[in-house]
Amino acid sequence: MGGCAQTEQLGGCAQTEKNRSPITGQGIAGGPSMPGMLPSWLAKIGTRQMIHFFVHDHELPLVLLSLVLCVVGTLVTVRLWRIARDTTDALRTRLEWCFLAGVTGGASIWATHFIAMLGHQHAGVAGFDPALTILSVVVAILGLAVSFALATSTASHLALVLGGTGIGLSIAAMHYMGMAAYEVPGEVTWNLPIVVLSIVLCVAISIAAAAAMRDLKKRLKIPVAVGALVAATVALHFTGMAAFSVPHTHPMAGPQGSDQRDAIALGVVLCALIVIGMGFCGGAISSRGRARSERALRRQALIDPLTELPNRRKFHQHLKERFHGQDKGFAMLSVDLDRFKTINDTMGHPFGDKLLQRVGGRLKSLLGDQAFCARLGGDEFAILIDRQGSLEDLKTTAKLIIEIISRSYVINAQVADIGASIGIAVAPEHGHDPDTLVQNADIALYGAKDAGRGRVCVFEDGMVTAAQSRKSLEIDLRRALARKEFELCFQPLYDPQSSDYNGAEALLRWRHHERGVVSPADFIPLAEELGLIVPIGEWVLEEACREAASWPSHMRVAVNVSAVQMMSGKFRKTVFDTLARTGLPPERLELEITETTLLCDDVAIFDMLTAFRAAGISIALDDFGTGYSSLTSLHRYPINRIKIDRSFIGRSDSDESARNIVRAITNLADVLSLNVTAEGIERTSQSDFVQQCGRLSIQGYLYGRPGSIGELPASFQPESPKNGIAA
Amino acid sequence: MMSPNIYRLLYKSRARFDCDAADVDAFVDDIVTKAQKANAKRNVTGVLAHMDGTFIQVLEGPADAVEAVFERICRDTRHTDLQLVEFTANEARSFGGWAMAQFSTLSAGHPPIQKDFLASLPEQAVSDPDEAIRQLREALFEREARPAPHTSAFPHDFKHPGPPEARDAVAAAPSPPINGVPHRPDAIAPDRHRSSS
Repeated sequence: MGGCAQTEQLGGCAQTEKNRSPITGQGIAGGPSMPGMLPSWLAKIGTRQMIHFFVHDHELPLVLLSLVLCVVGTLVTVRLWRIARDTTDALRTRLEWCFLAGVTGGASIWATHFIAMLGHQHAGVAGFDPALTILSVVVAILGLAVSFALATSTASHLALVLGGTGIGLSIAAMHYMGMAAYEVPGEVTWNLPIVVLSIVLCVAISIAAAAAMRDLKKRLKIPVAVGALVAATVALHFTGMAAFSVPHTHPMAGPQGSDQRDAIALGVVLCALIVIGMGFCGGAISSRGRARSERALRRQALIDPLTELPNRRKFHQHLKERFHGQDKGFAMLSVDLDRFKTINDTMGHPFGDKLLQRVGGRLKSLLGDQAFCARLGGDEFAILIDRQGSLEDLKTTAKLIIEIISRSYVINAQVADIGASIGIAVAPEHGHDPDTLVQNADIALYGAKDAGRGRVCVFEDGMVTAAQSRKSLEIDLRRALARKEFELCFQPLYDPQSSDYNGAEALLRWRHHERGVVSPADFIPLAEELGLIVPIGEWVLEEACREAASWPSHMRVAVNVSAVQMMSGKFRKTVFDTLARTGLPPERLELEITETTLLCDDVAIFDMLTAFRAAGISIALDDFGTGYSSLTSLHRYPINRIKIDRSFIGRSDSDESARNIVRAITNLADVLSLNVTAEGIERTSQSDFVQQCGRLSIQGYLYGRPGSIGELPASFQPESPKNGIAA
Repeated sequence: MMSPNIYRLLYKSRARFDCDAADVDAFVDDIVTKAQKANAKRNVTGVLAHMDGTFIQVLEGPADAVEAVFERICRDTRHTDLQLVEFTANEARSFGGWAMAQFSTLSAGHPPIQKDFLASLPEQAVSDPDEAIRQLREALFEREARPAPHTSAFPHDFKHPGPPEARDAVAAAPSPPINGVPHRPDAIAPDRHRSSS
């Protein structure tokens, strides 16, 4: 142990009497000028002396221990630093990570320093100033935390330099405060240029570490930054120690027994490891959580959370890959559930969700790995299946799918039954690209639904034309209202008792600029399906009431109402608002409904009809005798007129049974006190026959064809006197 | 102790494949073995009757358990024409003693009266499920040589419903009982038991 000799070798010669200072270190500031000193200290530290310094001044096991601690602590610190950099959360979260990095970094650097000092035999440490020791740790922690916060604040050079400098200065401050905390017997001397050099080195390497964190590739970031920070710490420590010297007048005073020193070392190492370990855990928990949530997000983007089947996006991805992959041929099955919407509406959406889950489960269990099955949304599923056998095999598979989906579902102790329709398009015959294939599978699906649901339909070229013409009719229909292509015409209603007209039925006409007059039979079902019947019906009601308001006061107007319109929810309000707006008395309005409307057996419909009747509006049941002609409907609903279907009148000349039906209906109406209208009267013989049957209104070509407002008979002129009509 | 509502489900189906006796036997065995294992766990009891490729199965137990078992059956493509006939809530189980009792026209040893009964069962089950279930119960108790207690007095849990002699017969059976009940009543061969006495 040659404490004195080393002091002389390392520091003593460079020190003047003037800057020999006590451990408080004030003397350092007032040291000799640097420029003059640099060459001399460089000359003093030769290779031989450095070797001597490491081998003899420091006890190797403790030095190695401190080095290991330094590397491990720095690794954890840098990982936390990276988390602070990468976090996309709020500023507060980033600062918290910076603080944790500061705590870990500060503790590990301090412990590194402390253990290394214990191994630094020449220092002859007698004890520590507790306040200063604690302060050195606090400075290190806070300094590093602030520096990390600076370094991670922006990507600018300024942030990098300030942060790096801060890190270097924090390490240096810790080191020199720690040194100041040592109670060394006798006076301590410092070699100022070496001190400055150590700080400059430390700061420079720390800036390099900050640069590595900012600019290097992902893989290199952490190893390089860790290496740099370890280098900065080591460089500072050993360079700094070279600037430190104690006079040899007090060799090895103090109670530094080897056992006691080891105990202190052990304690410090343990404490440091606990802090580092906690920093590590913090980082690990966060990384794992982030990895998990990233995985979950990626999964969410491609998986339908309800059925856990691939979603629409994933389906399109997969379909594209199949087309790129020169697949030998595959088919797309477009699956749509029948009656699902009704069940979803009546049994509630949670029930509907469970039902969809079950459907997804059945599809998965049926198809397994043999097919790619996705939920495109709502009650739409799509299946991509390899084409192994014939088209018939494919159809068999599709039918099996329908069979399995159509089996009853027992959910929450309730039974639900749905069905499915499937459209098949085969690649490449029915589509060389994803979009065409999907479109054609949908066209085939539409065909399957149109043919009566629960069916499988394979795409055929002819379907495109049908689908296109339907599509173009749909587009035209959507524009028709705005383009004012609808017209209303009126067919007069004749009352044989008064020998005069007593009203007219309003009939809708669509005059398309290219198609000409489109038959209601062609566009009304489409309008109902598209829901367009509601605005169209409103327009019809408004126009009819407005026109009828100008007619003489005994003239009523009959307006047809579709079931879809009645169930739209706002129909009641529409009717009363329209009457109020047009000024037509309710008694002069007759709403013609069909039996389909009553089949819904809806309380709301019953209430609405009752309200209409209470207000004086007439309710007529159209096309009576053809459909169910349920007597219950007549009995249950507030109907006050039935219209005998034109088919019976048409056959009445030649067919006795048709005549009997007309007689039966009029008798029935008589018993139930209902008014009757006979439709489709074209000949005098028919007119004579129906008049024999009883009191009724007559409608037909014989008494007037449907015509525009201007073509109505003179009786409809405002305030016109009653005119007899020659039949 | 209040008994929870026991849900009873009756369905009818046919075997998808052609009625080769060996295949159907294997299928029936598979259904029954799996059902007995799963049902005992789920507290589901019932009966499976097989008549020349047509199945009638009754499942009874807590709603969620019956739902789960039936859903699994719905996913099985070996059934075809699967038709849910009845799903009702009841006070008590009708087949409380059986994890899954089994009747089959293929199994030897059915007394003639049961053969006639089984032949008419598919139609009966659809037109009058309650009566079909009552008859199934009677046939089952008759086969096991125990008197059938009234449904109303029937315990809901897995207590053995038979008299002591019948229990002895069960204890002598080769297959181990589930929850103290035989899980393959037909494997006990009560007919043989009877003929030997």
